[in-house]
Amino acid sequence: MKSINVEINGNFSSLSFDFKHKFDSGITTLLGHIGSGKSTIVDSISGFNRQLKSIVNINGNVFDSHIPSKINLRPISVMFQDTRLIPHMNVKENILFALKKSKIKKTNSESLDVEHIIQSLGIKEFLNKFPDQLSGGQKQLVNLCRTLAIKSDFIILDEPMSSLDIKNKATVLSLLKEINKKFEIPILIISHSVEEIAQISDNVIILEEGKIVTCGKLSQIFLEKEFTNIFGKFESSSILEGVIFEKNSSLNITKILISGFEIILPGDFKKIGEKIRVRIRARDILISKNINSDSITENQLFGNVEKIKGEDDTAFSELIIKIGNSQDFQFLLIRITKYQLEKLKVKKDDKIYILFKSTSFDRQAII
Amino acid sequence: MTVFEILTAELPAIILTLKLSLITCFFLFLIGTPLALLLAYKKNKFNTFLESIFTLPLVLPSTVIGFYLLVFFNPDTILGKFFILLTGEQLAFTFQGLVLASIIYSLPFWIQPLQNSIEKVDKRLIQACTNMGSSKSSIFFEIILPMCKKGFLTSFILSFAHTIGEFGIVLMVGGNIDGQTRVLSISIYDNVEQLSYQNAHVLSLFLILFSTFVLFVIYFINNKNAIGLKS
Repeated sequence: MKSINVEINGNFSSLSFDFKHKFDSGITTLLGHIGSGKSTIVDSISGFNRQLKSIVNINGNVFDSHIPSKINLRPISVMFQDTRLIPHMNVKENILFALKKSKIKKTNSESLDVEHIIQSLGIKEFLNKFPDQLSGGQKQLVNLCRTLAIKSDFIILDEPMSSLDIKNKATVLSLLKEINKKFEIPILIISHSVEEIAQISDNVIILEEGKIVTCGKLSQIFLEKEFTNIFGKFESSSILEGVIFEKNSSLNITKILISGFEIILPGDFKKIGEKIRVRIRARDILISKNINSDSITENQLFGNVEKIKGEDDTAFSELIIKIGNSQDFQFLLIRITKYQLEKLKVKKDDKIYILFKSTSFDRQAII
Repeated sequence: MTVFEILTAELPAIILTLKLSLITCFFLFLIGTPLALLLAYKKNKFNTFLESIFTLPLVLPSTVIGFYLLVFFNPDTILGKFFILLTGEQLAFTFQGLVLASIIYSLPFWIQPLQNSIEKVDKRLIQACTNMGSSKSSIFFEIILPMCKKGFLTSFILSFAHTIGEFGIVLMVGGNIDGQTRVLSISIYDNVEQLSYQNAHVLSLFLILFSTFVLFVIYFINNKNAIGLKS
Protein backbone atom coordinates (compact mmCIF):
# COMPACT_ATOMS: atom_id res chain seq x y z
CA MET A 1 0.00 0.00 0.00
CA LYS A 2 1.46 3.29 -1.08
CA SER A 3 1.12 6.23 1.24
CA ILE A 4 2.05 9.86 1.08
CA ASN A 5 2.20 12.11 4.10
CA VAL A 6 2.25 15.84 3.69
CA GLU A 7 2.73 18.44 6.42
CA ILE A 8 2.84 22.14 5.60
CA ASN A 9 3.14 24.92 8.14
CA GLY A 10 3.98 28.59 8.22
CA ASN A 11 2.86 31.89 6.79
CA PHE A 12 2.82 32.78 3.15
CA SER A 13 1.11 35.61 1.25
CA SER A 14 -1.02 36.63 4.25
CA LEU A 15 -2.27 33.08 4.83
CA SER A 16 -1.38 30.95 7.79
CA PHE A 17 -0.92 27.39 6.60
CA ASP A 18 -1.68 24.32 8.64
CA PHE A 19 -2.01 21.38 6.30
CA LYS A 20 -1.54 17.80 7.40
CA HIS A 21 -2.83 14.96 5.30
CA LYS A 22 -2.17 11.34 4.54
CA PHE A 23 -2.96 10.51 0.93
CA ASP A 24 -3.96 6.94 0.17
CA SER A 25 -3.63 5.37 -3.24
CA GLY A 26 -6.95 6.71 -4.48
CA ILE A 27 -7.89 9.96 -6.13
CA THR A 28 -8.14 12.95 -3.82
CA THR A 29 -9.62 16.32 -4.70
CA LEU A 30 -8.46 19.52 -3.07
CA LEU A 31 -11.30 22.03 -2.98
CA GLY A 32 -11.34 25.61 -1.88
CA HIS A 33 -12.22 29.15 -2.80
CA ILE A 34 -9.91 31.27 -4.91
CA GLY A 35 -7.12 32.44 -2.62
CA SER A 36 -7.55 29.61 -0.15
CA GLY A 37 -3.97 28.50 -0.79
CA LYS A 38 -4.49 25.52 -3.09
CA SER A 39 -1.73 26.39 -5.53
CA THR A 40 0.63 27.19 -2.66
CA ILE A 41 0.01 23.68 -1.34
CA VAL A 42 0.94 22.32 -4.79
CA ASP A 43 4.10 24.46 -4.86
CA SER A 44 5.04 23.29 -1.37
CA ILE A 45 4.56 19.60 -2.12
CA SER A 46 6.54 19.87 -5.34
CA GLY A 47 9.29 21.83 -3.56
CA PHE A 48 9.05 25.21 -5.25
CA ASN A 49 7.81 27.09 -2.21
CA ARG A 50 10.73 27.51 0.18
CA GLN A 51 9.07 29.93 2.56
CA LEU A 52 6.71 27.43 4.10
CA LYS A 53 7.95 24.58 6.23
CA SER A 54 6.97 21.36 4.57
CA ILE A 55 7.66 17.71 5.07
CA VAL A 56 6.62 15.37 2.29
CA ASN A 57 6.97 11.66 2.89
CA ILE A 58 6.49 9.55 -0.21
CA ASN A 59 6.61 5.86 0.62
CA GLY A 60 9.31 6.54 3.21
CA ASN A 61 11.24 8.97 1.03
CA VAL A 62 11.29 12.16 3.09
CA PHE A 63 11.62 15.65 1.60
CA ASP A 64 12.05 18.40 4.17
CA SER A 65 11.91 22.01 3.03
CA HIS A 66 14.61 22.87 5.59
CA ILE A 67 17.05 20.33 4.23
CA PRO A 68 18.30 21.48 0.83
CA SER A 69 17.74 18.86 -1.81
CA LYS A 70 17.32 18.83 -5.53
CA ILE A 71 13.73 19.64 -6.37
CA ASN A 72 14.02 17.97 -9.76
CA LEU A 73 14.57 14.59 -8.11
CA ARG A 74 11.30 14.59 -6.17
CA PRO A 75 9.21 11.69 -7.45
CA ILE A 76 6.20 13.93 -8.01
CA SER A 77 4.72 14.98 -11.32
CA VAL A 78 2.74 18.17 -11.42
CA MET A 79 0.41 19.46 -14.08
CA PHE A 80 0.43 23.20 -13.48
CA GLN A 81 -2.71 25.18 -14.03
CA ASP A 82 -1.39 27.24 -16.94
CA THR A 83 -0.12 25.12 -19.77
CA ARG A 84 3.63 25.41 -19.79
CA LEU A 85 4.66 23.61 -22.95
CA ILE A 86 8.16 24.14 -24.31
CA PRO A 87 7.58 26.48 -27.27
CA HIS A 88 10.46 25.35 -29.48
CA MET A 89 9.59 21.68 -29.24
CA ASN A 90 6.67 20.01 -30.96
CA VAL A 91 4.13 17.95 -29.06
CA LYS A 92 6.05 14.73 -29.48
CA GLU A 93 9.32 16.32 -28.35
CA ASN A 94 7.57 17.89 -25.37
CA ILE A 95 6.34 14.49 -24.24
CA LEU A 96 9.68 12.80 -24.93
CA PHE A 97 11.45 15.53 -22.97
CA ALA A 98 9.39 14.71 -19.87
CA LEU A 99 9.91 11.02 -20.43
CA LYS A 100 13.68 11.40 -20.79
CA LYS A 101 14.30 13.93 -18.03
CA SER A 102 12.25 12.13 -15.40
CA LYS A 103 14.40 9.03 -15.69
CA ILE A 104 16.66 10.41 -12.97
CA LYS A 105 13.80 10.44 -10.47
CA LYS A 106 13.91 7.55 -8.06
CA THR A 107 10.45 6.04 -7.93
CA ASN A 108 8.84 2.84 -6.80
CA SER A 109 6.09 3.09 -9.36
CA GLU A 110 6.02 1.57 -12.77
CA SER A 111 6.30 3.96 -15.69
CA LEU A 112 2.99 4.55 -17.37
CA ASP A 113 2.36 3.41 -20.90
CA VAL A 114 2.76 6.71 -22.76
CA GLU A 115 1.72 5.24 -26.12
CA HIS A 116 -1.58 4.24 -24.55
CA ILE A 117 -2.04 7.69 -22.97
CA ILE A 118 -1.35 9.40 -26.31
CA GLN A 119 -3.87 7.09 -27.94
CA SER A 120 -6.56 7.61 -25.31
CA LEU A 121 -6.23 11.37 -25.23
CA GLY A 122 -6.36 11.60 -29.01
CA ILE A 123 -3.09 13.50 -29.23
CA LYS A 124 -1.70 11.36 -32.03
CA GLU A 125 -3.08 13.57 -34.79
CA PHE A 126 -1.15 16.64 -33.65
CA LEU A 127 2.07 15.06 -32.41
CA ASN A 128 4.10 17.04 -34.93
CA LYS A 129 2.50 20.41 -34.24
CA PHE A 130 4.12 23.12 -32.15
CA PRO A 131 2.41 24.53 -29.03
CA ASP A 132 1.46 27.80 -30.72
CA GLN A 133 -0.46 25.86 -33.37
CA LEU A 134 -2.70 24.18 -30.79
CA SER A 135 -6.02 25.25 -29.30
CA GLY A 136 -6.36 25.76 -25.55
CA GLY A 137 -7.99 22.37 -25.09
CA GLN A 138 -5.35 20.58 -27.16
CA LYS A 139 -2.60 22.24 -25.15
CA GLN A 140 -4.23 21.06 -21.97
CA LEU A 141 -4.40 17.48 -23.27
CA VAL A 142 -0.72 17.60 -24.20
CA ASN A 143 0.12 19.09 -20.82
CA LEU A 144 -1.76 16.26 -19.13
CA CYS A 145 -0.05 13.65 -21.30
CA ARG A 146 3.34 15.17 -20.54
CA THR A 147 2.58 15.18 -16.81
CA LEU A 148 1.59 11.52 -16.93
CA ALA A 149 4.79 10.74 -18.85
CA ILE A 150 6.85 11.95 -15.89
CA LYS A 151 8.04 9.01 -13.85
CA SER A 152 6.59 9.58 -10.39
CA ASP A 153 4.99 8.23 -7.24
CA PHE A 154 2.48 11.05 -6.86
CA ILE A 155 0.53 12.85 -9.56
CA ILE A 156 -0.79 16.36 -8.87
CA LEU A 157 -3.16 17.97 -11.36
CA ASP A 158 -4.07 21.63 -10.91
CA GLU A 159 -7.38 22.30 -12.70
CA PRO A 160 -6.61 19.70 -15.36
CA MET A 161 -9.83 19.98 -17.32
CA SER A 162 -10.65 23.68 -17.29
CA SER A 163 -10.35 24.15 -21.07
CA LEU A 164 -11.80 20.83 -22.18
CA ASP A 165 -15.18 20.10 -23.74
CA ILE A 166 -17.51 17.50 -22.23
CA LYS A 167 -16.33 14.71 -24.50
CA ASN A 168 -12.67 15.26 -23.68
CA LYS A 169 -13.45 15.66 -20.00
CA ALA A 170 -15.07 12.24 -19.97
CA THR A 171 -12.02 10.75 -21.73
CA VAL A 172 -9.63 12.33 -19.25
CA LEU A 173 -11.70 11.27 -16.26
CA SER A 174 -11.84 7.65 -17.28
CA LEU A 175 -8.14 7.65 -18.17
CA LEU A 176 -7.22 9.04 -14.75
CA LYS A 177 -9.43 6.50 -13.05
CA GLU A 178 -7.85 3.73 -15.08
CA ILE A 179 -4.29 4.88 -14.35
CA ASN A 180 -5.04 5.26 -10.68
CA LYS A 181 -6.50 1.78 -10.47
CA LYS A 182 -3.88 0.04 -12.57
CA PHE A 183 -0.71 1.64 -11.25
CA GLU A 184 -1.95 2.60 -7.77
CA ILE A 185 -0.28 5.98 -8.03
CA PRO A 186 -2.07 8.44 -5.76
CA ILE A 187 -3.56 11.37 -7.66
CA LEU A 188 -4.36 14.78 -6.23
CA ILE A 189 -6.68 16.92 -8.31
CA ILE A 190 -7.37 20.58 -7.72
CA SER A 191 -10.74 21.46 -9.09
CA HIS A 192 -13.74 23.72 -8.76
CA SER A 193 -16.12 21.62 -10.77
CA VAL A 194 -18.63 19.53 -8.83
CA GLU A 195 -19.15 17.25 -11.82
CA GLU A 196 -15.45 16.44 -12.01
CA ILE A 197 -15.21 15.81 -8.28
CA ALA A 198 -18.29 13.65 -8.24
CA GLN A 199 -17.11 11.45 -11.04
CA ILE A 200 -13.61 10.78 -10.00
CA SER A 201 -12.78 11.47 -6.38
CA ASP A 202 -12.47 8.92 -3.67
CA ASN A 203 -11.54 11.52 -1.09
CA VAL A 204 -12.08 15.23 -0.79
CA ILE A 205 -10.14 17.84 1.17
CA ILE A 206 -11.72 21.22 1.71
CA LEU A 207 -9.23 24.02 2.22
CA GLU A 208 -9.92 27.44 3.63
CA GLU A 209 -7.27 30.07 4.33
CA GLY A 210 -4.49 27.51 4.25
CA LYS A 211 -6.19 25.12 6.64
CA ILE A 212 -8.08 21.89 6.11
CA VAL A 213 -11.63 22.47 7.26
CA THR A 214 -12.82 18.99 6.51
CA CYS A 215 -11.71 15.92 4.64
CA GLY A 216 -12.95 12.42 4.06
CA LYS A 217 -14.74 10.12 1.69
CA LEU A 218 -16.56 11.84 -1.12
CA SER A 219 -20.02 10.58 -0.17
CA GLN A 220 -19.66 12.01 3.35
CA ILE A 221 -18.15 15.30 2.28
CA PHE A 222 -21.04 15.90 -0.11
CA LEU A 223 -23.37 16.00 2.87
CA GLU A 224 -21.31 18.42 4.92
CA LYS A 225 -21.99 22.10 5.27
CA GLU A 226 -18.40 23.07 4.33
CA PHE A 227 -19.10 21.61 0.93
CA THR A 228 -22.32 23.53 0.48
CA ASN A 229 -20.48 26.63 1.66
CA ILE A 230 -18.31 26.36 -1.42
CA PHE A 231 -20.84 25.24 -3.97
CA GLY A 232 -24.01 26.73 -2.56
CA LYS A 233 -27.35 25.13 -1.87
CA PHE A 234 -28.10 24.79 -5.53
CA GLU A 235 -25.47 22.14 -5.93
CA SER A 236 -26.11 20.26 -2.71
CA SER A 237 -26.45 16.66 -3.75
CA SER A 238 -25.49 13.08 -3.00
CA ILE A 239 -23.31 10.59 -4.77
CA LEU A 240 -24.56 7.04 -4.91
CA GLU A 241 -22.53 4.10 -6.06
CA GLY A 242 -24.08 1.03 -7.58
CA VAL A 243 -23.53 -1.95 -9.84
CA ILE A 244 -25.07 -2.38 -13.27
CA PHE A 245 -27.18 -5.52 -13.38
CA GLU A 246 -29.39 -5.17 -16.41
CA LYS A 247 -29.61 -3.29 -19.66
CA ASN A 248 -32.55 -2.76 -21.93
CA SER A 249 -31.58 -1.45 -25.33
CA SER A 250 -35.13 -1.12 -26.68
CA LEU A 251 -36.10 1.22 -23.83
CA ASN A 252 -32.57 2.62 -23.73
CA ILE A 253 -32.13 2.25 -19.99
CA THR A 254 -29.51 0.85 -17.64
CA LYS A 255 -30.62 -0.74 -14.39
CA ILE A 256 -28.34 -0.43 -11.41
CA LEU A 257 -28.45 -1.76 -7.87
CA ILE A 258 -27.68 0.78 -5.15
CA SER A 259 -27.50 -0.71 -1.63
CA GLY A 260 -30.17 -3.20 -2.55
CA PHE A 261 -32.42 -0.81 -4.44
CA GLU A 262 -33.11 -0.91 -8.14
CA ILE A 263 -32.52 2.36 -9.95
CA ILE A 264 -33.38 3.13 -13.55
CA LEU A 265 -30.78 5.15 -15.34
CA PRO A 266 -31.76 6.65 -18.70
CA GLY A 267 -29.21 5.85 -21.38
CA ASP A 268 -26.64 3.18 -22.07
CA PHE A 269 -23.70 3.10 -19.69
CA LYS A 270 -20.79 0.70 -19.25
CA LYS A 271 -21.19 -3.07 -19.01
CA ILE A 272 -23.18 -5.35 -16.75
CA GLY A 273 -21.32 -6.00 -13.49
CA GLU A 274 -19.40 -2.73 -13.60
CA LYS A 275 -19.56 -0.11 -10.87
CA ILE A 276 -21.19 3.20 -11.60
CA ARG A 277 -21.64 6.47 -9.74
CA VAL A 278 -24.55 8.83 -10.01
CA ARG A 279 -25.22 12.22 -8.53
CA ILE A 280 -28.65 13.36 -7.48
CA ARG A 281 -29.35 16.91 -6.46
CA ALA A 282 -30.91 17.22 -3.01
CA ARG A 283 -33.73 19.42 -4.28
CA ASP A 284 -34.89 16.84 -6.86
CA ILE A 285 -35.93 14.20 -4.33
CA LEU A 286 -39.41 13.71 -2.89
CA ILE A 287 -40.27 11.92 0.34
CA SER A 288 -43.35 10.15 1.55
CA LYS A 289 -44.34 8.23 4.67
CA ASN A 290 -46.36 5.65 2.80
CA ILE A 291 -46.60 4.73 -0.79
CA ASN A 292 -49.41 3.72 -3.10
CA SER A 293 -49.05 0.77 -5.39
CA ASP A 294 -48.88 2.60 -8.73
CA SER A 295 -45.55 4.28 -8.67
CA ILE A 296 -45.31 7.98 -9.35
CA THR A 297 -41.64 7.78 -10.23
CA GLU A 298 -39.29 5.14 -11.55
CA ASN A 299 -37.08 5.13 -8.53
CA GLN A 300 -38.31 4.36 -5.06
CA LEU A 301 -36.00 3.79 -2.16
CA PHE A 302 -36.62 3.26 1.51
CA GLY A 303 -34.48 4.59 4.28
CA ASN A 304 -33.98 5.85 7.77
CA VAL A 305 -33.93 9.54 8.72
CA GLU A 306 -30.52 10.07 10.30
CA LYS A 307 -30.52 13.79 10.71
CA ILE A 308 -32.77 16.77 10.14
CA LYS A 309 -31.42 20.29 10.09
CA GLY A 310 -33.45 23.36 9.40
CA GLU A 311 -31.76 26.24 7.66
CA ASP A 312 -31.87 29.38 9.75
CA ASP A 313 -32.91 32.00 7.25
CA THR A 314 -34.68 30.00 4.56
CA ALA A 315 -37.84 27.98 4.12
CA PHE A 316 -35.83 24.78 3.71
CA SER A 317 -34.66 21.85 5.76
CA GLU A 318 -32.06 19.25 4.95
CA LEU A 319 -32.51 15.60 5.69
CA ILE A 320 -29.86 12.93 5.68
CA ILE A 321 -31.29 9.51 4.92
CA LYS A 322 -29.46 6.22 5.33
CA ILE A 323 -30.37 3.59 2.79
CA GLY A 324 -29.41 -0.09 2.72
CA ASN A 325 -28.47 -2.49 5.50
CA SER A 326 -25.69 -2.45 8.08
CA GLN A 327 -23.16 -3.99 5.66
CA ASP A 328 -24.04 -2.01 2.56
CA PHE A 329 -25.38 1.45 3.19
CA GLN A 330 -25.16 4.90 1.69
CA PHE A 331 -26.37 8.35 2.59
CA LEU A 332 -28.71 10.57 0.67
CA LEU A 333 -29.19 14.28 1.08
CA ILE A 334 -32.66 15.71 0.60
CA ARG A 335 -33.77 19.33 0.63
CA ILE A 336 -37.43 20.08 1.23
CA THR A 337 -39.42 22.95 2.66
CA LYS A 338 -40.03 23.14 6.40
CA TYR A 339 -43.70 23.35 5.51
CA GLN A 340 -43.63 19.95 3.81
CA LEU A 341 -41.61 18.45 6.65
CA GLU A 342 -44.20 19.56 9.18
CA LYS A 343 -47.06 18.37 7.00
CA LEU A 344 -45.52 14.92 6.70
CA LYS A 345 -44.58 14.89 10.41
CA VAL A 346 -41.18 13.42 9.67
CA LYS A 347 -38.91 13.00 12.68
CA LYS A 348 -35.43 11.64 13.21
CA ASP A 349 -35.23 7.79 12.97
CA ASP A 350 -38.46 7.61 10.96
CA LYS A 351 -38.63 5.22 8.04
CA ILE A 352 -39.54 7.02 4.87
CA TYR A 353 -39.88 6.45 1.15
CA ILE A 354 -37.64 8.35 -1.20
CA LEU A 355 -38.83 9.08 -4.71
CA PHE A 356 -37.11 10.62 -7.66
CA LYS A 357 -37.50 10.64 -11.40
CA SER A 358 -34.82 9.21 -13.63
CA THR A 359 -34.50 12.63 -15.24
CA SER A 360 -33.04 13.92 -11.96
CA PHE A 361 -29.66 12.34 -12.58
CA ASP A 362 -26.95 14.73 -13.51
CA ARG A 363 -25.97 13.35 -16.89
CA GLN A 364 -22.50 14.77 -16.64
CA ALA A 365 -21.96 13.08 -13.32
CA ILE A 366 -22.59 9.51 -14.36
CA ILE A 367 -19.44 7.46 -14.50
CA MET B 1 47.59 54.04 -53.50
CA THR B 2 44.54 52.11 -54.51
CA VAL B 3 41.86 51.12 -52.01
CA PHE B 4 43.06 47.56 -52.25
CA GLU B 5 46.64 48.54 -51.46
CA ILE B 6 45.56 50.58 -48.47
CA LEU B 7 43.46 47.70 -47.12
CA THR B 8 46.33 45.29 -47.68
CA ALA B 9 48.70 47.61 -45.87
CA GLU B 10 46.22 47.86 -42.98
CA LEU B 11 45.54 44.14 -43.00
CA PRO B 12 47.40 43.49 -39.72
CA ALA B 13 45.20 46.12 -38.03
CA ILE B 14 42.03 44.63 -39.57
CA ILE B 15 42.98 41.11 -38.52
CA LEU B 16 43.98 42.27 -35.05
CA THR B 17 40.65 44.06 -34.67
CA LEU B 18 38.66 40.99 -35.71
CA LYS B 19 40.79 38.76 -33.48
CA LEU B 20 40.29 41.08 -30.51
CA SER B 21 36.52 41.19 -31.08
CA LEU B 22 36.14 37.45 -31.43
CA ILE B 23 38.26 36.65 -28.40
CA THR B 24 36.40 39.28 -26.38
CA CYS B 25 33.05 37.76 -27.39
CA PHE B 26 34.27 34.31 -26.44
CA PHE B 27 35.14 35.50 -22.93
CA LEU B 28 31.94 37.52 -22.73
CA PHE B 29 29.99 34.34 -23.44
CA LEU B 30 31.77 32.66 -20.54
CA ILE B 31 31.59 35.59 -18.12
CA GLY B 32 28.62 37.64 -19.27
CA THR B 33 26.15 34.76 -19.68
CA PRO B 34 26.21 33.61 -16.04
CA LEU B 35 25.99 37.25 -14.98
CA ALA B 36 22.95 37.79 -17.24
CA LEU B 37 21.36 34.66 -15.74
CA LEU B 38 22.09 35.89 -12.23
CA LEU B 39 20.66 39.35 -12.88
CA ALA B 40 17.61 37.91 -14.63
CA TYR B 41 16.73 35.36 -11.95
CA LYS B 42 17.98 36.70 -8.63
CA LYS B 43 16.48 40.08 -7.94
CA ASN B 44 17.89 41.62 -4.77
CA LYS B 45 19.56 44.85 -3.68
CA PHE B 46 23.05 43.52 -4.16
CA ASN B 47 22.34 42.35 -7.68
CA THR B 48 20.72 45.66 -8.54
CA PHE B 49 23.95 47.25 -7.38
CA LEU B 50 25.92 44.82 -9.56
CA GLU B 51 23.66 45.67 -12.48
CA SER B 52 24.51 49.36 -12.14
CA ILE B 53 28.23 48.58 -11.91
CA PHE B 54 28.11 46.46 -15.07
CA THR B 55 26.27 49.23 -16.89
CA LEU B 56 28.86 51.88 -15.98
CA PRO B 57 30.83 51.48 -19.23
CA LEU B 58 27.72 52.69 -21.06
CA VAL B 59 27.68 56.05 -19.29
CA LEU B 60 31.24 56.80 -18.26
CA PRO B 61 33.67 58.43 -20.67
CA SER B 62 36.03 55.74 -21.88
CA THR B 63 38.91 57.77 -20.47
CA VAL B 64 37.70 57.15 -16.92
CA ILE B 65 37.66 53.39 -17.40
CA GLY B 66 40.89 53.53 -19.37
CA PHE B 67 42.58 55.48 -16.61
CA TYR B 68 41.55 53.09 -13.86
CA LEU B 69 42.43 50.07 -15.95
CA LEU B 70 45.92 51.51 -16.43
CA VAL B 71 46.15 52.01 -12.68
CA PHE B 72 45.07 48.41 -12.03
CA PHE B 73 47.34 47.04 -14.73
CA ASN B 74 50.33 48.58 -12.97
CA PRO B 75 52.81 45.84 -12.00
CA ASP B 76 52.63 47.04 -8.37
CA THR B 77 48.97 46.05 -8.04
CA ILE B 78 47.73 42.54 -7.26
CA LEU B 79 46.33 42.13 -10.77
CA GLY B 80 49.54 43.41 -12.35
CA LYS B 81 51.71 41.17 -10.15
CA PHE B 82 49.53 38.17 -10.84
CA PHE B 83 49.71 38.71 -14.57
CA ILE B 84 53.48 39.10 -14.55
CA LEU B 85 53.71 35.91 -12.52
CA LEU B 86 51.51 34.19 -15.08
CA THR B 87 53.02 35.44 -18.34
CA GLY B 88 56.21 37.27 -17.48
CA GLU B 89 54.99 40.54 -18.99
CA GLN B 90 52.88 43.42 -17.83
CA LEU B 91 49.27 43.97 -18.89
CA ALA B 92 49.33 47.53 -20.16
CA PHE B 93 50.19 47.97 -23.85
CA THR B 94 49.77 44.25 -24.62
CA PHE B 95 47.13 42.38 -26.57
CA GLN B 96 46.08 40.53 -23.39
CA GLY B 97 45.55 43.84 -21.63
CA LEU B 98 43.45 44.97 -24.56
CA VAL B 99 41.31 41.83 -24.35
CA LEU B 100 40.75 42.38 -20.63
CA ALA B 101 39.81 46.02 -21.22
CA SER B 102 37.49 45.07 -24.09
CA ILE B 103 35.72 42.50 -21.93
CA ILE B 104 35.09 45.14 -19.29
CA TYR B 105 33.81 47.89 -21.58
CA SER B 106 31.71 45.53 -23.71
CA LEU B 107 30.17 43.77 -20.70
CA PRO B 108 26.93 45.80 -20.70
CA PHE B 109 26.55 45.17 -24.42
CA TRP B 110 26.60 41.45 -23.71
CA ILE B 111 24.62 41.37 -20.46
CA GLN B 112 21.71 43.67 -21.22
CA PRO B 113 20.23 42.16 -24.40
CA LEU B 114 20.76 38.68 -23.03
CA GLN B 115 19.30 39.52 -19.62
CA ASN B 116 16.21 41.01 -21.30
CA SER B 117 15.84 37.94 -23.40
CA ILE B 118 16.25 35.56 -20.44
CA GLU B 119 13.73 37.55 -18.42
CA LYS B 120 11.19 36.89 -21.16
CA VAL B 121 11.47 33.13 -20.65
CA ASP B 122 8.46 32.16 -18.53
CA LYS B 123 9.71 31.21 -15.08
CA ARG B 124 6.73 28.90 -14.75
CA LEU B 125 7.99 26.96 -17.75
CA ILE B 126 11.32 26.51 -16.00
CA GLN B 127 9.45 25.35 -12.90
CA ALA B 128 7.56 22.81 -14.98
CA CYS B 129 10.79 21.55 -16.54
CA THR B 130 12.40 21.25 -13.11
CA ASN B 131 9.45 19.19 -12.00
CA MET B 132 9.99 16.94 -15.02
CA GLY B 133 13.47 16.22 -13.70
CA SER B 134 15.58 18.69 -15.69
CA SER B 135 18.81 19.71 -14.00
CA LYS B 136 19.97 23.33 -14.07
CA SER B 137 22.38 22.65 -16.92
CA SER B 138 19.69 20.88 -18.92
CA ILE B 139 17.39 23.86 -18.41
CA PHE B 140 20.13 26.20 -19.63
CA PHE B 141 21.13 24.21 -22.69
CA GLU B 142 17.76 22.76 -23.70
CA ILE B 143 15.34 25.52 -22.70
CA ILE B 144 17.01 28.91 -22.16
CA LEU B 145 19.63 28.68 -24.91
CA PRO B 146 17.19 27.78 -27.71
CA MET B 147 14.58 30.23 -26.44
CA CYS B 148 17.13 33.07 -26.20
CA LYS B 149 18.77 32.53 -29.58
CA LYS B 150 17.91 36.08 -30.60
CA GLY B 151 19.21 37.44 -27.33
CA PHE B 152 22.53 35.65 -27.75
CA LEU B 153 22.84 36.80 -31.33
CA THR B 154 22.06 40.39 -30.39
CA SER B 155 24.57 40.25 -27.53
CA PHE B 156 27.19 38.76 -29.79
CA ILE B 157 26.76 41.22 -32.62
CA LEU B 158 26.53 44.26 -30.35
CA SER B 159 29.60 43.27 -28.32
CA PHE B 160 31.49 42.37 -31.47
CA ALA B 161 30.63 45.65 -33.18
CA HIS B 162 31.25 47.68 -30.06
CA THR B 163 34.70 46.14 -29.57
CA ILE B 164 35.53 46.99 -33.16
CA GLY B 165 34.34 50.56 -32.65
CA GLU B 166 35.92 51.36 -29.27
CA PHE B 167 38.67 53.95 -29.35
CA GLY B 168 39.30 55.77 -26.08
CA ILE B 169 40.04 52.83 -23.82
CA VAL B 170 42.03 51.06 -26.52
CA LEU B 171 44.23 54.10 -26.95
CA MET B 172 44.81 54.51 -23.23
CA VAL B 173 45.33 50.85 -22.35
CA GLY B 174 46.83 49.49 -25.55
CA GLY B 175 48.61 52.38 -27.16
CA ASN B 176 49.63 51.99 -30.78
CA ILE B 177 51.91 48.99 -31.17
CA ASP B 178 51.83 47.51 -34.63
CA GLY B 179 50.50 43.94 -34.70
CA GLN B 180 49.98 44.05 -30.91
CA THR B 181 47.53 46.78 -30.06
CA ARG B 182 47.11 48.85 -33.20
CA VAL B 183 43.47 48.15 -34.03
CA LEU B 184 41.43 49.84 -36.80
CA SER B 185 40.11 52.74 -34.76
CA ILE B 186 43.66 53.59 -33.62
CA SER B 187 44.91 53.23 -37.14
CA ILE B 188 42.36 55.76 -38.41
CA TYR B 189 43.35 58.20 -35.67
CA ASP B 190 47.01 57.67 -36.49
CA ASN B 191 46.43 58.27 -40.19
CA VAL B 192 44.56 61.50 -39.48
CA GLU B 193 47.37 62.65 -37.18
CA GLN B 194 49.84 62.03 -40.01
CA LEU B 195 47.52 63.80 -42.46
CA SER B 196 47.16 60.69 -44.65
CA TYR B 197 43.47 61.39 -45.16
CA GLN B 198 43.12 58.92 -48.01
CA ASN B 199 43.97 55.99 -45.74
CA ALA B 200 41.68 57.37 -43.03
CA HIS B 201 38.89 57.63 -45.61
CA VAL B 202 39.23 54.05 -46.79
CA LEU B 203 39.36 52.64 -43.27
CA SER B 204 36.50 54.80 -42.03
CA LEU B 205 34.35 53.84 -44.97
CA PHE B 206 35.23 50.22 -44.39
CA LEU B 207 34.07 50.53 -40.76
CA ILE B 208 30.88 52.32 -41.76
CA LEU B 209 29.99 49.64 -44.28
CA PHE B 210 30.89 46.86 -41.90
CA SER B 211 28.89 48.35 -39.02
CA THR B 212 25.88 49.06 -41.21
CA PHE B 213 25.90 45.48 -42.36
CA VAL B 214 26.16 44.17 -38.81
CA LEU B 215 23.34 46.37 -37.54
CA PHE B 216 21.19 45.50 -40.52
CA VAL B 217 21.64 41.83 -39.71
CA ILE B 218 20.44 42.36 -36.13
CA TYR B 219 17.43 44.41 -37.10
CA PHE B 220 16.59 41.96 -39.79
CA ILE B 221 16.75 39.00 -37.44
CA ASN B 222 14.90 40.72 -34.65
CA ASN B 223 12.25 41.76 -37.12
CA LYS B 224 11.70 45.35 -36.12
CA ASN B 225 12.12 44.44 -32.44
CA ALA B 226 14.31 46.84 -30.51
CA ILE B 227 17.95 45.91 -30.38
CA GLY B 228 17.39 44.72 -26.87
CA LEU B 229 19.06 47.50 -24.93
CA LYS B 230 17.08 48.83 -22.03
CA SER B 231 15.83 52.33 -22.68
